[in-house]
Amino acid sequence: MKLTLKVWRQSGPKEKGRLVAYVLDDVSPDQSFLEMLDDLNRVLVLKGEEPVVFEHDCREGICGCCGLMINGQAHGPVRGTTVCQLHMRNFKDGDTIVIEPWRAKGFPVIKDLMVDRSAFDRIIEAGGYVSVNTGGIPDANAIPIRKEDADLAMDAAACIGCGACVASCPNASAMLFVGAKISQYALLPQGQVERVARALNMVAAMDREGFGNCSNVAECEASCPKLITLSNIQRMYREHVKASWKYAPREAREAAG
Amino acid sequence: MSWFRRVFLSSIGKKFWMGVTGVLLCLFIAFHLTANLVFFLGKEAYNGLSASLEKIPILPLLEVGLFALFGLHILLGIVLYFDNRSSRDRYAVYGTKLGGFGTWASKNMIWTGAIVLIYLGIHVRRFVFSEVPELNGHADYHGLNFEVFSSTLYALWYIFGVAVLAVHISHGFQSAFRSLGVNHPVYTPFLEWLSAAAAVVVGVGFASIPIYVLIKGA
Ligand code: FES
Repeated sequence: MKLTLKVWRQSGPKEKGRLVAYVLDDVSPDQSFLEMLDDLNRVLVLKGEEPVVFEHDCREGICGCCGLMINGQAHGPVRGTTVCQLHMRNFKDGDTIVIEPWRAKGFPVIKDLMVDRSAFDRIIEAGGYVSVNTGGIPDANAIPIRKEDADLAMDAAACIGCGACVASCPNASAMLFVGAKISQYALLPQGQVERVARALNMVAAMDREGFGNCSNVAECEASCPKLITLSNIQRMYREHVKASWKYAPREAREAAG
Repeated sequence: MSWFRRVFLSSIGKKFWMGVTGVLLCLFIAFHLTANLVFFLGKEAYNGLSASLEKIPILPLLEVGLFALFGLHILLGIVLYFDNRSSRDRYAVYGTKLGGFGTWASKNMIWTGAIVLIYLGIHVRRFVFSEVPELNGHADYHGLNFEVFSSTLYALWYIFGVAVLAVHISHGFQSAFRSLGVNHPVYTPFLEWLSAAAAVVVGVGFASIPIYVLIKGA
């Protein structure tokens, strides 16, 4: 396949970027999108040009590193897929593909297609954990959990934190991500101890990072590679509203700033 | 974070109140429309209803409440718009992913809202702060409709206004419930359906009087 790629090139966080066109003559439909970019970089290196910086790690759809905006669609045209799992057979010979980094105030560009997603780490640090006593491994069935709750918690926990929800949202809202992270604990008995503080702290952290507000456009749900549903956002609302009206524990209030 | 900041100024707090005011405004619109449709029951019924509404003892209180409701809804809408605008960054190419249901209405609430606001301003001036014609010593609100809509230009603008309101509601009604944390595999699809139905009913319902007057007048 012959493809024209328009790739966002930006030499640094403060630099002005622009789309640069490259033509690849020999793209195999069996390649993954990232392998195609590897090929592009090989061509660039051989020509003595600087290769395109893009993030990747597992290449099997579980780490969440490889987010790219492909023709205006987060992770490309296929639903429920990360860029590394996207195959070139989803494109046609002669296509022009525009490749951009995630764009949001909360995700500043580091270089080319790579953005700084540490805002998500800071949100997780604010409450995306449970405190447990150390010791031997607990018996998996020691705590009875309703099958329905376990399933919902597992669906929420599938989030890989790639940031496609923020990238595809017209408001750059991180509410699908935070909703999933809050839900996965709110649904399980292990998450109850810090439940109120978690809702307050994670939402406060999200607000501090400058992400926008959900306006129920639902682009996030459509572009999530793990098919996280909007219902997690509503669960987060319920958690936060309940926690807000309650008298919050002092540590929670202080930590939330 | 203080109780006030959590409940009113956090991202979710703002959305919560947007949802509350949205639902209450929908209730008001439902009431307003029902009252409007009495128009078609004839002069006596319509003028009688108007007169009895004016006799409600706490009417000024209700009006202030309604005004505050609109004010809060508009204020939150503007604040959220600017919040969101400062959060995002522009793409060279941006599109909906297959299976996404991001509608035009959902992405343009601020603009449909702004048009509705202008429409409302003119509407209130025309209908609330204008001379009401008299009939047998009683205020003739029925006749007021004929008087106001005798201007074809205004009638058309009114129809446009309620059409935009309908678009606003088509997203707003179900979105308000989502903002209040309602999401259910059975009830949410029903609310989405209801939202679309409400938009049609509101648009057609409010437009029916000017259309009637336009046809009658011709
Ligand atoms: S590289 Fe890990 S999810 Fe794509």
